[in-house]
Amino acid sequence: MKLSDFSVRIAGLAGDGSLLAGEILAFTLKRRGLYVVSVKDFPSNIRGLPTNLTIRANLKRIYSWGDHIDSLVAFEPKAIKIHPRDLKKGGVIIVDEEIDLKDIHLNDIYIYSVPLKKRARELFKREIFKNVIALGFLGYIYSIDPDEFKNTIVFYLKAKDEKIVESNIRALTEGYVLAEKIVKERFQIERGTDSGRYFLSGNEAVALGAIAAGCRFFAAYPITPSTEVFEFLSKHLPKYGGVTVQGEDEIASINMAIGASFAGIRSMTATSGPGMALKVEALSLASMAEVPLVIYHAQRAGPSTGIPTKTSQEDINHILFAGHGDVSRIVLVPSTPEESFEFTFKAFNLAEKYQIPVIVLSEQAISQNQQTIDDIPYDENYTWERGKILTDEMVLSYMTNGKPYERYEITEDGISLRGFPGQKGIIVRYNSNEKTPEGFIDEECEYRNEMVEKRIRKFENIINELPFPELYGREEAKNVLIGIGSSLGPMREAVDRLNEEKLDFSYLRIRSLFPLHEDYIYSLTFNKNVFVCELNSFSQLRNYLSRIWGKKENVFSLRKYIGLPFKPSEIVREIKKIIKGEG
Amino acid sequence: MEKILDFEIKNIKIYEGKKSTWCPGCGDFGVLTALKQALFELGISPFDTVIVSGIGCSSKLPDYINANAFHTIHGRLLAVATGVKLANQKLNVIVTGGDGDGYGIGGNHLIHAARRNINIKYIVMNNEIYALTKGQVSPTSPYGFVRGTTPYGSKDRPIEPCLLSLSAGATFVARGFSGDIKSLKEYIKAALKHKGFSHIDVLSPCVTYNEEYSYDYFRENIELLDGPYSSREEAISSIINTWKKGKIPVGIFYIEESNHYELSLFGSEDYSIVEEFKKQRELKKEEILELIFDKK
Ligand SMILES: Cc1ncc(C[n+]2csc(CCOP(=O)(O)OP(=O)(O)O)c2C)c(N)n1
Ligand code: SF4
Repeated sequence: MKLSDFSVRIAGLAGDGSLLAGEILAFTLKRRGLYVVSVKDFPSNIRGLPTNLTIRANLKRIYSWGDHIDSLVAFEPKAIKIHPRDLKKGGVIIVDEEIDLKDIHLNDIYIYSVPLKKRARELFKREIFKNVIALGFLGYIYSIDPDEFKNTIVFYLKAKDEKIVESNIRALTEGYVLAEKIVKERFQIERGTDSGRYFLSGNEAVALGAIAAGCRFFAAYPITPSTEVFEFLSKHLPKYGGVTVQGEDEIASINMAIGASFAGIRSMTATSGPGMALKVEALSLASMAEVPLVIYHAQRAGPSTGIPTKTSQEDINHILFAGHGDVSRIVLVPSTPEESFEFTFKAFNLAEKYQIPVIVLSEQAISQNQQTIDDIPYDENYTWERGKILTDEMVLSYMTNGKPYERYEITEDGISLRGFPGQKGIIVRYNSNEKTPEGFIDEECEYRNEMVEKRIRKFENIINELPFPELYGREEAKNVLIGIGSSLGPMREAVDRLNEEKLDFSYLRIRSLFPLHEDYIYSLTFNKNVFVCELNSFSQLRNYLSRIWGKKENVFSLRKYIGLPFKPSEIVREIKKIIKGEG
Repeated sequence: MEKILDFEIKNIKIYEGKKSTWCPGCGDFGVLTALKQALFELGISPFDTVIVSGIGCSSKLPDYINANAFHTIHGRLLAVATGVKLANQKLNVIVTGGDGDGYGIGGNHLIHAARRNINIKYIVMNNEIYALTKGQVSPTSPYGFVRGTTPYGSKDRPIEPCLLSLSAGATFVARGFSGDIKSLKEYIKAALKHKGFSHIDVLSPCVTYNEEYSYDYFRENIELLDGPYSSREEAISSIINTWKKGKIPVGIFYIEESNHYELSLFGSEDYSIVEEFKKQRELKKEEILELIFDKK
């Protein structure tokens, strides 16, 4: 039987090597020409707690880990208790023989109890190789040519010791040998063509977008799930003449980024919930002093320290409303690695053009999971738009015409010319207090109204530059799902399934939360049933959108807060319940 | 304010800023005068200078001097200045604030700026009080100080900021007195010439909220140490011994020549990310993809 939609889960304890085995498998499938989505489910702990990785592959582009798995590899007893409920009929479990199967009764499932750890000890004196032995076993069941795996292993580990590569290949072969002896039924996985696709996480895409956008200063404080951005940039920014700094805390980091931007370079900071909470005073400073700044925020489950390694959309309220005073900001919400790249790039242009902070609001499920993407969305249209900046040539006119340079000149579009310290001939004054056009503290509040209105005027045109909501399905569909971020894949699959049952659904994915495309959202949802999907318990997105709708009838809230993205089946099930309840 | 058309610094008036709103007699005037004189005597151009401040009476100083400025938020001035300096090492970055600003809310940043040894000059106008919020105790106020928020006397012991920055790794540490502008100017000049994190704590009386610590009080109680000492330990013990005698140590306590942060990061004192960025163009797609070759 040929499988065109294939999922595996590898479950063990942290430190068991499940993630590495999973990555090798994912990459092998990706190179087989399949679109792969991987979802890591791991604890905030280095060793000893349950960890698993689900890999789903399909000939078509997919965005979610779906509902079911075809097979489960289990290295520890708990895994065999929790995960089989996700297995499809006719699915496969590969379990270490040292795990007791006494109480496990599963119908229509092939269970293979394999001496994974034992053989690893015998062959290598190290149990860790069990993960690659299991991969070999799996490879046999699914008729994957061992050479395909070998290529990935060589490619993945080539920086490491030759010996390590060799041992891994031996372990893989051992898996095939063990499988040949006991496997009863084999399956086949489809093959497509891989014309140079990439397997990228949201965090990697954000870092790449920042480099492409000319970000040359990055300061942050490590926090899951954003740290990979920091690591990626630390490795690469120096090659472009830039620098990264690990601040003493989040407060220092964002203020450093503000200082660097004031001095004239594109700068960014990255964080997650608790870190963003600390950065808020400086967010307000960036808005008030009109400093271009990009903040990348990958949400995790809260409140407080919450679950550092699990996804959520719990910081919607925080990001929309954080800051004392009327704080200007732009909030972009990507769903995929492509958008993580694109929106980060765009964020730098918007930040400089409008001289305000721009937040790229992602979440753990996007930032730390990898997906196959066709390409990085980058072409000649991706230019550095620096907005109104004072060139050295322009300085001369200020020096000769007798008019002093005004950092906060009152202008029609609300945007003043940005000069930089070190430009000989002008003095640049930034101020967190309300100020005069020259940037002095406005102690008499002479300019207060003009300054507030100047800052508001920036918003007259911004909306036209922001990513428009994505509609999937018919514009006239009677029912609309609305969501952001990681809900993309599950919503899309749910809409397809609901439409197969003639239920007439579409989805609307919001990609810029602030400012919001209010008119469009209003008109699209007018006279329809609306289902807002979100990963929080307070219905933050629904309540925010209700500002547009007022007391709209037939708005339903689908919420999940376990720390994992939606499954398509969950959305379908909930909606059917609601519809039935109505009918 | 005088319009400057040539870059030559012929007259100290070129540093003239807005008229100040400090109370007549405020100690911060002395700091402002000393700073202007130091810049003038060293011929440092206002265009190449950035003054970063926090929030407080003292932090309003950038308004009163003609130089690039960033009046930031309470306590975060060193962090902002760090970003400025790393972006453009060629700028002469001076940070000015108060004791509440720098030793209270911003205390952590002082430790870290000192340990990084970033080439920033930090002048703290220490009036041992929170003045702008109308006279509450600060981290340098003495034990038992009675003010609005401490009606029964402060139960917090004061910190010694110079000992703090010395132990954190600052490579230039001094204390001046704004009643002695001549010496203070010399300390600031020495700090401006020093390549590394320079911390000058300045005894700067608040004539409105802190009568106890008046010009006369300081004149009577300060003791000039014969620094700079050749070791950190010696500087620290001299400061401690002076306090033990009931005197307030002033002078340049310590100077150490060692690589500063930017030099370690960039390998050169000339390098500026801002200038480098100006020369750059959008990357070609292949250049971006090269960074993720192992993801293909
Ligand atoms: C985050 C924050 N907390 C509190 C304040 C209020 N505040 C303004 S100035 C100040 C203290 C100023 O004292 P100091 O730094 O010693 O400066 P001085 O006014 O004495 O020169 C405080 C607490 C503020 N602006 N921001
Ligand atoms: S209140 Fe004190 S510190 Fe503030 S200006 Fe007046 S004298 Fe100076």
